[in-house]
Amino acid sequence: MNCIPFDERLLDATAGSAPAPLTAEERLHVGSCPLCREAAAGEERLLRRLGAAAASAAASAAAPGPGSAPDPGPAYWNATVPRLRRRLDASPKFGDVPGPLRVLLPAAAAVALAIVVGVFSAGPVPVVGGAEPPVRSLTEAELQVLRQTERHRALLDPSGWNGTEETTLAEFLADLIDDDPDAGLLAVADPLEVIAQAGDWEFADIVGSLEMGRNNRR
Amino acid sequence: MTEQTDRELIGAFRNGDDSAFNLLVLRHQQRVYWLARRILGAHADADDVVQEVFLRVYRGLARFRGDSEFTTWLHRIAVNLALNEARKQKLRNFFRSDLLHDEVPSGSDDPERILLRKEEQSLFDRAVATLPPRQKTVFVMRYHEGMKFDEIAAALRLSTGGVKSNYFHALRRIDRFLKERER
Repeated sequence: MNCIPFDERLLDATAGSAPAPLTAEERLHVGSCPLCREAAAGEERLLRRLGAAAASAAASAAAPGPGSAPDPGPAYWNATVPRLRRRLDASPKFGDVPGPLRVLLPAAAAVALAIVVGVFSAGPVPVVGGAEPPVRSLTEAELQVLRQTERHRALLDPSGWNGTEETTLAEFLADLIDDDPDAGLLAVADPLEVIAQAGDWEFADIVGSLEMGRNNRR
Repeated sequence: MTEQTDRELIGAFRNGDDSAFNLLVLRHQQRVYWLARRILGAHADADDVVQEVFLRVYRGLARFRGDSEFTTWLHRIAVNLALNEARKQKLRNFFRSDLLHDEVPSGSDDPERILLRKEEQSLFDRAVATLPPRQKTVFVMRYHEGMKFDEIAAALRLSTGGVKSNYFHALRRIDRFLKERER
């Protein structure tokens, strides 16, 4: 029989349902397959640890917070709304604007909007700090290039997820950096900046940076 | 009296009942706080995020269309702000694990058991604290918040596959961390 998808079982188990007991045929396979034996032991170990951590957290008085961090207490929770209200009261409100400006301001905003729309429709503009970066999907050709190197292939297929389903460039970069924070893009740029700007990057630049980072480490 | 749903409170707020916002804050502040606290570690940082999240909610409620659940929207704002804060702190601060323990909890249990429990929990928290930002966020939302993968995907604007991948890597990293400490 084929190897048992322990990764999927683990995801199911931690998503709330206990993993189904192995069938007799699967147990037989685990007995003879070193990879599945290791994976089965890993599954059991990890679930035991997660269970112990959950029990420990539940036993502590701090729930719903992290097990070892204390609750800030009722005085803190009771103060949230008054603090927010003070800040909201302190911030300028539309009602504070003098009468004539109440008419002029929306008109000015409409003119500004029209100008911005005109500029944007005239051509691409760089992403301004704080704006959400545009995200696009990797094309099949790009995925093909990534699959050609072993490291990239591994990143695209870390858990049976083949990277083709709704994969975005930003997600790919984030996974890449998460998986290997000391490598690749770190050598040439701040990874967080890279993620922020991911939508602006040409695919060739990304691959080039990865290669450059790798060469720098050699 | 039946408790008003989020949707009803939002409707009331939009119709001029400003106090409905207070109820939304009281109902959801702990969820937002602990999400931020688990991502950022320090109480002060989590507190900043809570304030900023609800200020944005207040200003954005009029535009909230209700296409998604209010909690999904809230999570999205909270996670984005927490991650922005983490970016400001840069990676070196982000990986600090001691901040989660910046106050000592009190208890009246058997001291030996408390110590053992604290050690176990502390080790687990440290393992979680070493996760890269995105994996940590996904792990916190799944494991601590009990959110479903598709809910997390909606809140973070990721694919479900991407969320699963991050969660899976997080589990593996935690396992590795704990395994190394057991040696």
